[in-house]
Amino acid sequence: MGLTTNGIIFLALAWTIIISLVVISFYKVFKTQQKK
Amino acid sequence: MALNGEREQWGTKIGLILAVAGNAVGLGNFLRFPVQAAQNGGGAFMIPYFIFFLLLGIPLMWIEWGIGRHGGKFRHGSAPGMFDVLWKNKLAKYFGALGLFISITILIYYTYIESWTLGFSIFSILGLYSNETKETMTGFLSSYQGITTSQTFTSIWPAYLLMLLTFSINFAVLYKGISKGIEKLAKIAMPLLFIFAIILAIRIFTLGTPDPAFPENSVANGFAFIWNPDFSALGNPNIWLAAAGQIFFTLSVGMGTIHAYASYLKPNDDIVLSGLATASTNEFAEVVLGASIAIPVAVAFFGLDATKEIAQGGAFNLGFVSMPIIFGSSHFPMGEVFGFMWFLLLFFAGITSSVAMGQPVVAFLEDEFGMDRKKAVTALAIAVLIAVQFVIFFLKYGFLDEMDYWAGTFGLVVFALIETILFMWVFGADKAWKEMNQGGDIQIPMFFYYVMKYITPVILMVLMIWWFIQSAIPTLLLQNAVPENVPYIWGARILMAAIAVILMLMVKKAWENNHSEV
Repeated sequence: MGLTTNGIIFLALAWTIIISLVVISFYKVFKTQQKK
Repeated sequence: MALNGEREQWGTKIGLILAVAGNAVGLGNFLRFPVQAAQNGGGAFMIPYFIFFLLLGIPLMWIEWGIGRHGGKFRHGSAPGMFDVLWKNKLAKYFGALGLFISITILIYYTYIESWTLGFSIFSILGLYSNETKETMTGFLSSYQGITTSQTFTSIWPAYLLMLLTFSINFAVLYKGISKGIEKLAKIAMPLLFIFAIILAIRIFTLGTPDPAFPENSVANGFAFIWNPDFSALGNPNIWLAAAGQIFFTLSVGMGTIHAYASYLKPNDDIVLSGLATASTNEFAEVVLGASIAIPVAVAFFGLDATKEIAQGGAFNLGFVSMPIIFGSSHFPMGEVFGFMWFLLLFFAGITSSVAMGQPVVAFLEDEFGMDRKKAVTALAIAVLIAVQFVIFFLKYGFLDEMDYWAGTFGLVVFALIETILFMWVFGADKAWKEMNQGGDIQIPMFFYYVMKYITPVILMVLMIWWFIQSAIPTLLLQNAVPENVPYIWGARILMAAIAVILMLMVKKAWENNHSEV
């Protein structure tokens, strides 16, 4: 069976969306904390 | 109104985010999600999953943070007081009592399950299981639970002692308070949880094909099982409802815990970015890590067909039977260490959630009855310790499952629907919007104003009606119950009814003492 092209696309998209959300939100948290 | 002096506060923003994320990240992230994804269209499941993350998960998180911080301004750390300030009606506080009922009822059985993870982490490192089969490992688990006996466990007392140890740790954390207890725990447990999960995921990525005699049994095929999309599944409404349910349960909304944590914020502390950061952290634990451990390794060791059967058997089957078989296998070098990490990460996921479930009742006793924290925690500990006896000794009769259904499934949706209507419609969408955005490090996009007001409550109503028709009616009428279990299931219902009545009477008493009835 193995991962199909569509499977890889879905996995990569889901991971990218979530990792981006984590990085952006924590970057903003630390940045605003430094300002305060 | 609260009778004591200053309320406690969070020490740091990152501590608060980790504590709320710890509340959300639970056993379901590592056991429920991969099973749901694999059974409901694979990668295609992520389409409704992300849609409901936007329309249900994120809005509910912000609503609960908003209600909680607003209630904190009036020195209320639990739902009865919070609902009372949102809706000037004498019934409001009784609706809020549902928030206390759900959190304490789940706490009663969840802490017992959590003690199994602690026990299994110890059994892993001691090498108490190795070269097990499905039958022997099922026997190991059921003898540990006191349902049967085996060479390893001849009575329930090891499980009982581990339950007492888990309870002691939980209540010691609650006893220490918000900053010195809950926040400190989150700062230690959450990074360790992520470290263990990342190590396990990397180990599983590199397993390849553990037994070359079975080339189809590989980690790559495990990922394919979860991620290869089946677009035809998107036409099935049950898949959409399953995705909505998964988003709902994974974020631990609808139980009054986020409200309690948010009540210890100052009026101008940010909740928008904090809410987004906690939801994102939960999703990372679930989609990136949770989907990379249990199911891929199960396919690599048992093959696709057997893994489908395991998934049908439910999360406990996957976590406490299949995973120990894998870690005890000769094809998994240093399985004792990785098994220890697996169960300890589940324990950390569990304890950061269970202390959150204890906090609403502790806050209720402190804020509405003027108890000091130590007395409030002691009172809660005694009540929970009495109630858990039924769960431990009547486990095999479906006592725990009955409590989980009404409090841990149906009750959550009912509570979430009530709070959304109260906040967005009774309190008023404009006031609620202003409240949520106050002090925000970022502003909530206007799109969510309409989502919270119209779409989220409609989705919750659909979920509630769907569950009621599909499973609440058969559950209520005991249509699928084993006849031998029926008296015990009624016992669970009587216990839950007693908890609900006691909480209602306590709410009434507190308001008679401290508030003028509206």
